[in-house]
Amino acid sequence: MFSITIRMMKRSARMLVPAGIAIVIGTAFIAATLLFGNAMNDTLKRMTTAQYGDANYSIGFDTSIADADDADMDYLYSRTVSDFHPERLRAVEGVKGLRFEARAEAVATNGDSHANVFAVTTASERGLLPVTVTQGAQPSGDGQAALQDSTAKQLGVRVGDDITLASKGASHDMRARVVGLTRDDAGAYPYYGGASLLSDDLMAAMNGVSDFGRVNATTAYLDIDGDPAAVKTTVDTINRILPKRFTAQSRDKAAKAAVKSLSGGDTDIVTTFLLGFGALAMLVAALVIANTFQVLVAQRRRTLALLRTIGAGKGQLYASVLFEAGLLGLVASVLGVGLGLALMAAVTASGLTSSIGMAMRLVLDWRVFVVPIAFGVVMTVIASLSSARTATSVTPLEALRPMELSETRRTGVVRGALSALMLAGGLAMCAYAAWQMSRNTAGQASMVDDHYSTVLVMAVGGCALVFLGLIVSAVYWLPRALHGAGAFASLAGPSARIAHANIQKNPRRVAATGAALLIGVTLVSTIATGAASGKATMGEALASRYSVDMIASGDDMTDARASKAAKVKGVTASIYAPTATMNVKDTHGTTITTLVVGVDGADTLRKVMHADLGDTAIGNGTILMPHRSAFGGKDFVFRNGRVELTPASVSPASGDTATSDDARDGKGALTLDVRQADYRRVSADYAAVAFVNIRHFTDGDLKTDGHMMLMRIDADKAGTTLNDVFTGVQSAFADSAGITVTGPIAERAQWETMIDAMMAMLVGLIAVAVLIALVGVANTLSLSVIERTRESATLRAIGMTRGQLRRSLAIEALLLALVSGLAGVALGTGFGWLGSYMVFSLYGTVVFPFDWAVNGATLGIAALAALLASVAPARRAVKTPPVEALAEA
Amino acid sequence: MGRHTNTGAGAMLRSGRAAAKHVGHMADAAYDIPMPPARTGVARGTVAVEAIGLTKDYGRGETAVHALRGVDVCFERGRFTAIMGPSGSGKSTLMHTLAGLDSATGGHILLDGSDITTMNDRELTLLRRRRIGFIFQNFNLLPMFTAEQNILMPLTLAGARPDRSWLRTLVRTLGLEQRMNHRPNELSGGQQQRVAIARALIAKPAVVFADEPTGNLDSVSSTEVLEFLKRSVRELGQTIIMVTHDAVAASYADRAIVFADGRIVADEPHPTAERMNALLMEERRNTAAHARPGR
Repeated sequence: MFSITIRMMKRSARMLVPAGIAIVIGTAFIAATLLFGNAMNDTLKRMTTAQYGDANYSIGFDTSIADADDADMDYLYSRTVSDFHPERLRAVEGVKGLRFEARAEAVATNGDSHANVFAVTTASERGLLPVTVTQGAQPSGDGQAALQDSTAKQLGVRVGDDITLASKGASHDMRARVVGLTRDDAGAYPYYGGASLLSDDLMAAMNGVSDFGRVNATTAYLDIDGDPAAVKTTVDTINRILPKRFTAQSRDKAAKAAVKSLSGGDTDIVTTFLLGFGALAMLVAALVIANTFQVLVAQRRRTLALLRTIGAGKGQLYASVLFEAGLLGLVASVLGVGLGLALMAAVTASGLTSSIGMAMRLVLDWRVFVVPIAFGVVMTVIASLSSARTATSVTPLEALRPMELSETRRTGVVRGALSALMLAGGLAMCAYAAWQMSRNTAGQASMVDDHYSTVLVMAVGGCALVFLGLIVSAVYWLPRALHGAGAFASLAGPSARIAHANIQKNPRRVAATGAALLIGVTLVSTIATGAASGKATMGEALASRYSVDMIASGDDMTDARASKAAKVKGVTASIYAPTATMNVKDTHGTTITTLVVGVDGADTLRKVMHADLGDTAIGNGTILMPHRSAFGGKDFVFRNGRVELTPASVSPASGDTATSDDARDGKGALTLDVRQADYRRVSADYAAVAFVNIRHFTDGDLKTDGHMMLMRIDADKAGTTLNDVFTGVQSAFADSAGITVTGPIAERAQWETMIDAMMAMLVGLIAVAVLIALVGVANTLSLSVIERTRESATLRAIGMTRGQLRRSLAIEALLLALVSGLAGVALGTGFGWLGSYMVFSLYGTVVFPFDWAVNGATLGIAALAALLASVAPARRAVKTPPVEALAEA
Repeated sequence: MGRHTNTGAGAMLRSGRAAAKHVGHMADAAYDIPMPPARTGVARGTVAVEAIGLTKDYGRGETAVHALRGVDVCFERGRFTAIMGPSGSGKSTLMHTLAGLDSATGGHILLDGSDITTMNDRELTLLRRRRIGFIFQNFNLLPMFTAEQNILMPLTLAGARPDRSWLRTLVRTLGLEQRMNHRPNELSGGQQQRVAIARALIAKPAVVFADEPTGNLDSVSSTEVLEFLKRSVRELGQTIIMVTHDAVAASYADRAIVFADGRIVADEPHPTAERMNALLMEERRNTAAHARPGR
């Protein structure tokens, strides 16, 4: 029986190819996902142990940072080097090297050049260094530093030069000699791009302590020598010397613990998430496989009937179909694993990942091979079960008299009832959740107040039920939708009429194919709509809370820099203004920390502000204050329309504003007339931002603390994107460390980038399922063509040209793809809107956009792919000479 | 085109010699088309289909099958002709090539005045749409269309408007008024074949080819179908060429040709069932006689 099966398989090999391709894609995805998970784990491990250098042991806290409470954290961060008794540790038998991990951030100066420096402690043993010394040597004596090579370039120094180091904690600047250059080959400090090395005295100075023993340290690395027994003795001795809660651990064990805490518990979560998409892809592939086998068995009825006539049993035919499915699944899965391996190997070899800071390696284990193959084979066999059952229903009589198979199988009542239930239940859940949400936004009591997550789960669950119900009942509504669309398309000509009639021939197959495509398109559309809604809602919320699009402020804000930023494409207007931080007392007695900004009259201000300032002129002696506080929204009321401004100072240590020394002396106070206007936040750092005439600054009434640049942005008019404007303005200030660009546009740009990145990733993952569904469309078409050989030949005989036949197949494919696609877009938009409503209502009025771009692209791709899919079957159909119409079956 | 000296198109017209029988001979080389030595006094304009030196071979070399061996035959307009012969005689191949469904290896076919052996696929398709009608043994109706849609299919493919009065005439003649909205699987065999006949006639073709039209029908339906075919020739002026192995069916025709081994071996006007059976038996005996001494 098996040899017969294999022979039959060989003959129908062509028909099995699309199903095989579907399996290859699905298993390749799963294999690649598993490889990706392995690589991520491996990279994290290497990252956490990169700081070891060649050390084989480390000293660490007994609890991971993730699990530490406040008391633990206090204890941990008050440990200093001397607590660890470094001299006693070094004296222990077997300890060949010791290095404490302490860090400092400083600013290095060489003449006019400045650079930020991130530095770690040095070690006398080169092997214990976490970075590689590329030139010179590591610091050994006092006053030495080895700089990261990028920092050295920025400063323009070479080995042997001197630099000055200063930091927030250092009491005074220190001179240092550059004795070497470093490079972070192992990726120990990816966030900083590397680290410089400082000698112990410099490290102490930069941390603001008098000697190295007082530097805060939480980790140390040891190089321990000897056989396992000796090492154990050494470690025990060390543990006795160490302070409470600290132990020495081997590199391996420490790495495992670190990976766990770094990834927040499980890199496996990411892998599982990705595998979910793999399962989705395989599900869609299963539909394609089921279709293929149904037609395969139908085509083979004669042969199967003959086999039954000469003595094959029902069980043998059943087993034969399953065997064929299993073989196909096995071969295709193996190919898929190979493809996945090749893909990941290409990605890791190309250095793509190292550009984002994590150089990944290809890490193989048994799961990468076994899981996809097992999944693929099992899936294929399960998908072929129903056709196997059909094969057993072939009677020997059919060998003598071929029966014209007609689609008389009525779709089960069970299916209809089940799907109706799911639809009803799902819709009810969604409606309830939406109702509760609307009550919440209207300010009425609702479940959302205490059980938000329940309501959210309800909405998600409801959507899932609706979706599932529609997929299960696809065999009812999809053929009808196609009928309607086809009737419309029939107006286009005879080819369309034939296509319209052909689609109705096999509603089950058409429904399965359409459902496969529906799944992918709905998911893509949901994500796109959700992302678009999120972006729009966020934008609206931000815009309603802020009156100025973007501000840039900082210690080293200069006019030159401001004019550079003003030239960025998308900045339509800007003001460069002096600022002073003042305290203002309102009628209630509260002291409001206000940023006072000097502008040249209200008209200048109106250029950048989105608010109705009334008829205020901001002349001399007037101050413009907002109605409400930016923190908490409390109203400001001012006695007599006059207000006194007293200077406030910002303490460098704690960032609190307090009454400055000047104010206590009564100096620098200014009394002005108050006008209030309804404008919103200008800066998120102050309770209020007020505007006075710039003359108060030029005349000396107010002391200029700094400068601020206010900007009005219109990205659409300038033909650019918000993100481009934001990065443009940021890069105008790139050469200064202290300027920050904030404001709603800035926040929006950051949000949108993040949302777009996530959306791209998710859509990319779903695209795999969509691809398989499109393969399914091609498959259905080619199967239909095979079934319709006789009819196509008849049509050709009575006058259908080849072009007309090709066109009718193309129209069939287009109808299938577009109707499923449109249904998917409609569903996805609905789900996306509901989801956005549930999630974003808490932040503002939800916007319900229709993402024309993504939805249009999806439909366009589906249509194009459908057309492409019809090429090969069409060619096969026109190859059939009309003579076959006259041939006996 | 080269011509033999004693025969030429003009000479034929002028000769006006009647010929009762016609025997084919081996086709000659490429360009010279030997005209048949005798032709029924047929004016050019009344010929529906004509085959000149038609040859069809399948395969090559030793295993080559010579389905048609230089056949010369002429079919008049407005006549019902039957082509008979044993299985494997090449009668179906003759019909396929005459209808343009299969290509000829050699020779020429003139259908309604045009040489179809020089036509490409598109021209042949248009020919089949407008000037040729088909009736198949297994009906070959399109299962997803109603009877009316099936009948009008050739016109639908042409994008042409149907002649409603002609349709009514056909439907009435074939007795299909009650069945127009039914699908093929709701019609009996006889009704399906009548729908097929209507489809063949809807475009008012020059020739209708019928391949064993009664092969899948019981005797009552067979008689009906043959009657209709005869009536469409008599009343509607159609030209029908029918391939059949049934002598009774052949008796409905105006002329019966017996085909054997790629050649025409008998040409009988006003055939009767007995005469045709006799001819067939004679042919069978000849074949058996030739087959005995180890060929």
